Amino acid sequence: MASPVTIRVSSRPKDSAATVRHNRAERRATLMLLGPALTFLGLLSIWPFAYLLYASFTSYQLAIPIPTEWVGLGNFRRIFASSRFWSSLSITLIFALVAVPLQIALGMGLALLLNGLSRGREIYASLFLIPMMLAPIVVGFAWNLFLNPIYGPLNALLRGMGFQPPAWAQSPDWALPTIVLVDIWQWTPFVMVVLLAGLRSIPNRIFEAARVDGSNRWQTFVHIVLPMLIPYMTVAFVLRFIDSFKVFDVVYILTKGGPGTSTQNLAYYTYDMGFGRFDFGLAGALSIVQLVLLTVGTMSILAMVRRRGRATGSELPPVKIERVAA
Amino acid sequence: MASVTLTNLVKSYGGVVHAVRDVSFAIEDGEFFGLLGPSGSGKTSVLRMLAGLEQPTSGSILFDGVPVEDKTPQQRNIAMVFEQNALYPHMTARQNISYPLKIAGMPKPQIAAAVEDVAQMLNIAHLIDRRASQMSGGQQQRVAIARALVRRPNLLCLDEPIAHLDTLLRARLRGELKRLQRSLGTTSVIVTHDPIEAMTMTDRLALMREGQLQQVGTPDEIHNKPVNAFVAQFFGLHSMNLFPIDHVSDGAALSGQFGGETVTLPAIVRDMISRDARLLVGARPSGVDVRRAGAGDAPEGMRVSGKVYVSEQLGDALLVTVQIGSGTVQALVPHDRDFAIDEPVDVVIDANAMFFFDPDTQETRRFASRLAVPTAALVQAAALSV
Amino acid sequence: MTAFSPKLSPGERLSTILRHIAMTLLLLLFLAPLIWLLITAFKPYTELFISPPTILPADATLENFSKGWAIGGGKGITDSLIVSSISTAFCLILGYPAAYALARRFPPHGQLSFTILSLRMMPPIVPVIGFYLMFQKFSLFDTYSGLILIYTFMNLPLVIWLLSEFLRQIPKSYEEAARIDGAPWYRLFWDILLPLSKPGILTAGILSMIFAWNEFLFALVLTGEKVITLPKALASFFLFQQPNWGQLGAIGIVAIGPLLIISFYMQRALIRSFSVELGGR
Repeated sequence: MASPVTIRVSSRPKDSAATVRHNRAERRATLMLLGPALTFLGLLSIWPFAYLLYASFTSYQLAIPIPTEWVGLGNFRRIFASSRFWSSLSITLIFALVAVPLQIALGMGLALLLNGLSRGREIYASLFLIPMMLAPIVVGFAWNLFLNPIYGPLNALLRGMGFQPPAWAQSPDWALPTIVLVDIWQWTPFVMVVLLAGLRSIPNRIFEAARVDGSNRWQTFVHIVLPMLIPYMTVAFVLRFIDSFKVFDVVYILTKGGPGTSTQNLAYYTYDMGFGRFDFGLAGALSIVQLVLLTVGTMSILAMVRRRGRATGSELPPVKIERVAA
Repeated sequence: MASVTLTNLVKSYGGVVHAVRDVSFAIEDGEFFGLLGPSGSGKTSVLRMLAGLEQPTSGSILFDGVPVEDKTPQQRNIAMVFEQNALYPHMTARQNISYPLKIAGMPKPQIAAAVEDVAQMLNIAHLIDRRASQMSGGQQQRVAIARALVRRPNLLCLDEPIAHLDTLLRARLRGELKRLQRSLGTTSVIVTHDPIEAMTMTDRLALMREGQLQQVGTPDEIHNKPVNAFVAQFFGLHSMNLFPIDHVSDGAALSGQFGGETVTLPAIVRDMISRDARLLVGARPSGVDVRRAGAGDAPEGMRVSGKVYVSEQLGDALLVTVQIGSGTVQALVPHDRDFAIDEPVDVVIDANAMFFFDPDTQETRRFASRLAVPTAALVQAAALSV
Repeated sequence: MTAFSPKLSPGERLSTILRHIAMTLLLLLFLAPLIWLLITAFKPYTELFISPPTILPADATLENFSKGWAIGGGKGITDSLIVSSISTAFCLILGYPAAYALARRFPPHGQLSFTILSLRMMPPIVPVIGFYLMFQKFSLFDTYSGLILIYTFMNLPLVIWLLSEFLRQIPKSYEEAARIDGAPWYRLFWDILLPLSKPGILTAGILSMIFAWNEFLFALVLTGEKVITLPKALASFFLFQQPNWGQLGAIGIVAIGPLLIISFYMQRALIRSFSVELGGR
């Protein structure tokens, strides 16, 4: 016998006691799993941040035994009035806005070169990736040897060719370009791999279709490859932009901010104020300024990307970097 | 072994999405029970609540009359075969099958014997030391079934266990599973979206749609006594033809409009006509006949002219699709007939093969009194047409 | 190999060979500073200060390696190993359960995972002053435990993120099958989850090791004479002593050797860890 159709849409029924118990146990389990890590991360970010905030509003001097006083926005006023701050900011921005685009251009070239190989792509890619893996201190040291004005091989070569080579990191004019060069050297491979992943994600049939349509290599690159790589270039740019605020080790070992203050970026300036002069008030305020600049910068780039994406109707697709070679 | 009773089962996610709305039915001890429905009908949610993988929002589940909502899957002693990724990939078949027994703390020699038994039963003795990646999909599912059965569960839950296999293998495993279930007598619940699977394997089944139970019954009941038009259309090898007929008039001859064409109707429709002169008629393809236009001596029934859209040879039957105005009708006719595309034809439906549904509520008002073709023959025809 | 590749005409073959030669030259040019570092490590002291320099060491020696180890390279390697491996262990122990919860109970690219990951984006110079003051207060300055704490903090967000991405790709049905088989949570973890997530754990662990191994600023500011990690050892010998570049080069080579080997196996994971799926948010 067929049973009658039961179509009774009940209003939301009360949860049964078993369900309530079950949900409570689930919440407790989630808390136990996440709790330790979040507590750890929370404590270690809130505690130093509280110190940082406190220091930045006081005349906290570690070296001189003067009483610590509340100075309000005094440290921030000192920062914005200091020419060293503005020069260090401009040097940080040179990394973000000069070194990074160069890395993207060079990375694109390398990626195209590698993508054109039918064999050995993976081997070459791994070898090009070496600099990225290394401790920046080792990188700085290696470049120091390589660029040594007297005993280094590069200047010996240049002299042999009849040039009058610069003193690189030790010359006021060449120190900043040298540091930028080292940064480009270390991080172009990263951009290369991101873009290579992008190139590999373009299906072959698109190139074939372009060829059938009679498009030459340059047209294919401009009209097909470049637009499809925009999300990947964006990812590379944003990540490198964030990283450019982190540049410190190479400066420390190659120039110590010098000659003069010609290679002193925000990170090094902050370090120098904090641990060279132990003016923790100023260094604290500088740290906060940097954090704000970085956050605002990153957010506005992302907002711009999203707005552009919406305007052209193409949301930035998720960039998945799974396969570099093969 | 166990009997299972579900009462007023509700599952909602985040209090908003109602996956299962007030479902009640009972599964008898030793029964092979099916949960059938299109995707999103809530059948899998019901199974997962039975298994103890999900907590019902409200309602009760009884195993042999005992409430189990607070019990773990293990305490309920259920076993389950999943649709995909059923085997632990880092273990061999033997380790997979032994795992539940190992957890239960069974001594090693007994485990070995039990695994041996179940491997014999399922014909997988030769695969016993392979990993999942070294087995075909069908072999993996067989091992998964072995792992489920090795514990002698009270209830065996099968979540689309053969949906991902190819047609021939599916047909074979269907039979094997049914024989296995019969010989073991384990109460089993299978979730499937495939009416053929439900029809061929289960003793009884529950048909669901959008979280609601539509009908519970034997395959025969549901096929021949569907409670509404949805069940009638969904359950069957070929979808039931539905004819929404309007402008029904009882003049010189009883007639109406379908797809913009005039339909001649038999006398029995008289008391089925709605107040606004509409009629909802159903007929399985096996109950529809197609004749060359103008051929006489039709039986008492519904008649409408159209032209052949396409005819497909199924071997022992011919599936003819006829275009009638803006609508189409499918008919299963003897295989030795022959129709050309666009050939004008008459579609004739025996009055005894007609189902009537309420045009507004879609509920069944009268079942067909005669089956044109026995179900078994249809199963064959359908298996070939898949 | 050749059996499967399409037949190349002699012209094509030549251009392929030329291309590989060009790539090799480019690579050599690109890696020249590192090759020079390697060469320097084998040069005796007297050969370092010749202008123009010898290209290959005229009188190659291994002395730099033993001396480099003795003057502090050994201490640096030991300290770096201690700090990076223990902090990595903590990262995995704290991070795995959190990653599991994130993967199974929260939507991908949610607010929580974004917040955790954004900690990773912070330039280290920002929190270092706070850490320094905190270290003074709790006498953590120049201790292994202090640096381990900081490296755990530094790498935990990345480890959580990597592991949760990995765990998300493990089908839930394995866990459900184990629950149905009656496995209690610790057996579920030990028998099923752990073996299945081994590659993810390995990736996250190695990356955390590498980042701790390479880290310089925290080590510079937060430790003194007692704890001297490898980058700090290199920097201080280079800047404050009469530098013997050969010995420093030897230390540098030993410091980067393991990383080079790892990088060969890890490049894919490495890139993923650097990149964030921007489109997801």
